[in-house]
Amino acid sequence: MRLLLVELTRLRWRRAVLALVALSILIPAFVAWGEIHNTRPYTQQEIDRATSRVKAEVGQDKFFERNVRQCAKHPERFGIDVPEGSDPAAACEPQMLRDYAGLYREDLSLQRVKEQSGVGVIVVLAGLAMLIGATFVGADWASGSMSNQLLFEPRRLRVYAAKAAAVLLVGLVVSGVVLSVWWAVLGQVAAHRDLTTSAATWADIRGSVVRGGLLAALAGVGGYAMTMLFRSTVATLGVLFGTVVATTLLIASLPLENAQRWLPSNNIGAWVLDGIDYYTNNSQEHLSKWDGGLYLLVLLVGALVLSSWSFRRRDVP
Amino acid sequence: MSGELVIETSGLRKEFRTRRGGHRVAVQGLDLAVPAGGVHGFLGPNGSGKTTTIRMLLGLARPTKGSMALFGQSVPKALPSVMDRVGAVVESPKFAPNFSGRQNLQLLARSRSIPQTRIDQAVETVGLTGRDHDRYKSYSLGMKQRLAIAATLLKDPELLILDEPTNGLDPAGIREIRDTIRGLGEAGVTVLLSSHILAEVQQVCTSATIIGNGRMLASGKVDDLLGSGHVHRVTVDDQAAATAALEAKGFTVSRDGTSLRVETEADPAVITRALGEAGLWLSEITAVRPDLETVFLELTAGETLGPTPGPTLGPTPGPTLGEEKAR
Repeated sequence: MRLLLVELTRLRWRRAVLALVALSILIPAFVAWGEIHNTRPYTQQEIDRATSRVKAEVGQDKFFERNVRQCAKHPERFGIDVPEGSDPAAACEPQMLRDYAGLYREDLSLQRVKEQSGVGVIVVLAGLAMLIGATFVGADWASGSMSNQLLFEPRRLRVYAAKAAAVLLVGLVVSGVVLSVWWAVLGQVAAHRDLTTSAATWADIRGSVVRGGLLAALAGVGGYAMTMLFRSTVATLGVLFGTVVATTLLIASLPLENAQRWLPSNNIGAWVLDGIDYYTNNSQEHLSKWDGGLYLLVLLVGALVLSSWSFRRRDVP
Repeated sequence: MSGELVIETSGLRKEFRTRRGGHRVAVQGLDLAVPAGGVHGFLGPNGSGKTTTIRMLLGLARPTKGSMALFGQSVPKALPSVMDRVGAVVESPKFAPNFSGRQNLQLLARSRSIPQTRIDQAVETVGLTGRDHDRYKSYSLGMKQRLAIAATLLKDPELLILDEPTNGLDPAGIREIRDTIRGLGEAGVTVLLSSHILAEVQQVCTSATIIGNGRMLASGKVDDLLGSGHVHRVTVDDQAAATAALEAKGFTVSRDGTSLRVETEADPAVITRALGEAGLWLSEITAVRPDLETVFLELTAGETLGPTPGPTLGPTPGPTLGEEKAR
């Protein structure tokens, strides 16, 4: 516990870590702002201005009139929800005018956000957490202060575990807080716009926050483990990049029927998205979150075992 | 292993793998014994295995063979229990460059639950008060060395291992550190001082071990290593008559410029008496005492690792090294 507190203090004092934590807040905040901004409802003024502009153009347009008639007959085909007892044509014409005016902005859908930018935010958080883990301990190796620390606590596995726990804890707190606040803000905005979000969607989102937080925190531990193995942040990043590229190329070129099952990106996607479907030459396959999670866990445990063994055995400069 | 020895190694060996797949032996069968109390010098040319030995003692490097003990307890197994009694600076000072000197010390102190008041004491002892809040990377090399020594003092150690502690210090700083080391030695702290500055070892240390090529060449009290000074320089007007008179009494005599070199393990008074009986009156007699540099260079002559070995500079034969190991 004492060592963990020391490592948390060391983490807190590192400027690079603080900068990465700040990015972990700023990037999702920017993405959230983008989602909120790009789905903002049209003001009546915007609609009036646009429709009055196109009204003159479509006055002589037979296709426009025909489309409105078609829409009135089959509003569901045009994605228009006509309230019971209302005139379909009255609902269709304004919608047609908006379409002709290019007013295509979508409403804020949390389900869509979860599957798109939500995944992006989790991947960004995981990448930044990995950098935090790597740079935190990479600085110890670069400055040589690791040997100084071992002169005060020679039990290497304790030092290793304390540093790993500090990285895990920071990763969990940062990603957990950021993801929770991120969804809370989006949920508030959606509610403010009178958009309903189903309980099932919220349950999905809660699962996504838990899995995303875990992925980011464990990615931090992975970055830490690799840097303890290679003893350099730059080497870790180089090896990671090289491995991802080489693995992807290798798997893509292997004459295996189900090679995509082993792509890191697919397994990350499966974990974050509660399972994904992918296509082989002959069939559609499903990769569950548990399969993807197990794949990632095996990689992490492998890195931890190798790097802790190396740290315990190798001479420290 | 003896309980009276603070540091003891037996048959200590360290091999490094080279990039070409071969092996380089850094330490080969080193038997080191450092008694409790006093300042013990650890001398050797560059690359002779001093730092590697220290790193093995402190658990930073694994020995290929041999055994080691600190305070009579086998290390590295017992390091967790003895490390609180050991302070060490290995090679250059190593701290986080963007933290202040104080922050670096705070992290180390907290890892052993050392009270923060000790930081103030240590900072004051090494003369860093007022600069301890500055970033470590802004420190001069001398200040970095002082901070490293301050870190070793945090634990109030019984054994202090210092690897080239005066590197980069200005003359005043060197004197301060030497005084500090001497003071610690007098206060009962055992200090192992690894250095290639022979004058430093001669001035500060009570005992010393000289190694070369990873092997021990000599060990013992500094006075014993230097020998008792059984060569005397005698200045007399009639050198031929004096030579004859002294040789007649069984002395080995050789010319040394305008003086004679006379070898004897007896009291120098026998020289003056022999000359007096021959009616010769000497104008000067001086005991020629070899310095540690002479001893060191003689012992390490032929060692291929260091740049310093050269021809014997001193005017006298090598000292009697009662504890010199057969090579």
